[in-house]
Amino acid sequence: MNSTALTAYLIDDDRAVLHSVSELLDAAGIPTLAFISAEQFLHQLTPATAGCIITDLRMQGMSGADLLRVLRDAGCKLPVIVVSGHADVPVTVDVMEHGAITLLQKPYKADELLEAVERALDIYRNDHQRTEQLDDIRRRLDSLQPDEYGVMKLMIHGKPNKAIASELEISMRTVDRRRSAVLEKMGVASAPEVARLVALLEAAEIPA
Amino acid sequence: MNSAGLSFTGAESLEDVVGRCVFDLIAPEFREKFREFHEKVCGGEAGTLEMEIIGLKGVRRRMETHAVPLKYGPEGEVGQLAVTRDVTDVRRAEELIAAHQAQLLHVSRLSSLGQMAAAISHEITQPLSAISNYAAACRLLLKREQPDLDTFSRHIETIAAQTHRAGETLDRIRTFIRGGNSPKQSCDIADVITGALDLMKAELRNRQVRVEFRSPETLPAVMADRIQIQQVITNLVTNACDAMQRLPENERAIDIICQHDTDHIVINVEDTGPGLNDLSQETLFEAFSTSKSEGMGLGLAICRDIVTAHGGTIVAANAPTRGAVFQFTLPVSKEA
Repeated sequence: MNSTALTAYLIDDDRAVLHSVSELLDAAGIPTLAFISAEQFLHQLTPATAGCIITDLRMQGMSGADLLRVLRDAGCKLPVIVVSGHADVPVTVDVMEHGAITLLQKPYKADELLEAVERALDIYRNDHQRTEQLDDIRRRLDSLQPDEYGVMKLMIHGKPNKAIASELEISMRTVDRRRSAVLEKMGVASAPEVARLVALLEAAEIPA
Repeated sequence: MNSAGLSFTGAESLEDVVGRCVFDLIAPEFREKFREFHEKVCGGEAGTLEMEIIGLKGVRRRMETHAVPLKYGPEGEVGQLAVTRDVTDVRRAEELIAAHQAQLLHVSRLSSLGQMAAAISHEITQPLSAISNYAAACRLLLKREQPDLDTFSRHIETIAAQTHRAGETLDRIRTFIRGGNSPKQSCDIADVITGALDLMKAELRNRQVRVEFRSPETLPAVMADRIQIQQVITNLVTNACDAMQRLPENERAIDIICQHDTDHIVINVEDTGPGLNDLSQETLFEAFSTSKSEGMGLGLAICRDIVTAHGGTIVAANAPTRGAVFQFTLPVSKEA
């Protein structure tokens, strides 16, 4: 996925500010979509929405902090940059705890915003790549037959073929065949590499 | 001249003043007025003059003199009988009270503005943010091989407009917090109220309070100190907002309604809050009486002082359905 396909979603209830951010990012070559309220943004949000969000904190109707909560509850992973005219410590803490990647105080330097947007899009890209990688591992694991799965579990604990054969009460030849199938389906060349993929997936599936 | 007169003029004894011309005692800038006054009285008309004298020891005093013509002698010559009293201390005290009152109003304006500081700073930050973004966009546009000059000049126009927007907010604040009192002048009350609401725009938005202002197309002019009347509006609207704090956001509403008859303009400020518990007008408008945990309880006292000084009245009541109504009147300017 290249960066030009990613969009910065802008939310601010002050039209002048909204338009100015949109023009700034446009001049910097970053595609934007602008929304005058958080509600309006949520209305068009789909799982396919890709990029990052830049939202004002205090707005008519739903606030930026409320938006963060809604997004988190919906499992939305889009990185969020919050901008605010008056960011005191409690507000900052609240916003960061709800998963904003940064909070910029208005009036911020344009470069700060551009940097934050670049960072947000990088986070999105990495996150997206990682999600795809995990999906791939999950698909590969799911493709293992139950017998192959059993062998894989022992393989990744570093057990030699002999030990696996005796533990599962099967022949060495069968272990050999299943081990090859596991390596092939997982798309790797060795047991430690299988172990690494499984560990990656397990780490991701344990809630942080 | 009696002994009081001697002490005003700083004379030790009658000898010090006998034979001296009274004009010598009058402060130079009042001599012409005194001469006119003297002639008027000698012409047969009684009158009062306030002036300053400079005593023999150089002490300046403010005097009020009442004089009546007095016929004497067989030819009906006219002299005058003048009673002069020292009003130096009275005037000084009055000036002091006026100065303190002006100071109190000023401090109270600063304090209302202080309460709205966050909202107002937001009001200025917005255009500044926009300006900063447009300027940065312009910089980026210029770096391109073929700069889009149409977009560029559009941005410059917008920067100018946003600068104007920030400037207007600053002007409103500057006027509102200016010290002292501005002279009363003929003004359009609708305009004054709109100005106060503009000043509070951000605060009202923060508090999610909707304000509706209704006024007839044309209103007779009133003689008023614009800033003080804005202060009354600001105080009443702030009170209304406070009263509605516990209401759901969509129920918080203030109606400001202007009406007039031949003599008065009547301004109602109505909220949708719980109304007033204590309708005793005495306590309500008394200084330091407050039902709030924050604040000094000066808001309504100040409103009453300002309205009274303008020749109007202010009363409070509960609306028939819900909420409180504060009503004040201002006399219509007699000068057409």
